Amino acid sequence: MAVCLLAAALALAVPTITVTPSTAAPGSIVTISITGQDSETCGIEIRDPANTVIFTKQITLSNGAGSVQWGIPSDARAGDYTVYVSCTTSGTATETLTVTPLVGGEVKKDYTPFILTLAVATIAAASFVLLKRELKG
Amino acid sequence: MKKALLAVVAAAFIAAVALAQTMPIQITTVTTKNYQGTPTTTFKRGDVIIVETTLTCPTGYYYYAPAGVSYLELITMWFKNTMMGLTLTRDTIAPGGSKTFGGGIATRVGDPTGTYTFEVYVWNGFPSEMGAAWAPLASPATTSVTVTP
Repeated sequence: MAVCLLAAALALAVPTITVTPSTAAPGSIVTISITGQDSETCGIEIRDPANTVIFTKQITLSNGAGSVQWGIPSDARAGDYTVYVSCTTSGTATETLTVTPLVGGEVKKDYTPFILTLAVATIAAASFVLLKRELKG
Repeated sequence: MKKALLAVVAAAFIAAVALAQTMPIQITTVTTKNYQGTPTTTFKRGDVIIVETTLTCPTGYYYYAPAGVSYLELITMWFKNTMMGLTLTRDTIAPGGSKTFGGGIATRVGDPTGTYTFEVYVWNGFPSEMGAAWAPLASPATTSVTVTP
């Protein structure tokens, strides 16, 4: 009876995945935390929205827990990424991570060259007028 | 007679358990090479880093997998927490045999400089393919190189 209950508990056990933060921008770091069984080994795989593998890692849990960090590449495409975790004892689970598009900065036009040119032209014109008046006088 | 038989059975059981607890494949060497095939650990940005690995499968696994062990080998290149590149192969290794795989991973001229780490994994497949049947088939191996401007 006890053996059956233990077998059933193991069969029902699945690893728990937590992705923090669950929404992140390219260039930031996310932490994938796994809760499973004792010192089992887990494989982690992340696929981008085009289903391309962009992250693989193998870790061994300590007291049923472990975590890895992923630095999202600065050129990562925006969209939903799937995190697959499979562990040798507790089974398999998936989680979704959303990568947001990078927001561009405000573009400001630099009027400095135009203002400088205008100032130089005004001074030159004023000097010319003054010089002309002086010569007439 | 009974005692001798019991001893043989116990020894066989212990050997089987010991063998089952070890990985069926061992990563015996991981070497980084330049494009000319010369072993080195210093590269410039824009270089292709060739990582050559050798896997072996103990003869004792003949009794478990006489046809060989099918595997997925992943060579990943890391800079800090970012995976900079990946190369992989799928193959089968026979008990007592060895396999060599050399994968090239390119660095880009805009990549950061510093220490890059290579991690080699041997799995029975991707977690997305294998699900709960996923298993590592070898203890991971790592090596590092320096990337200069």
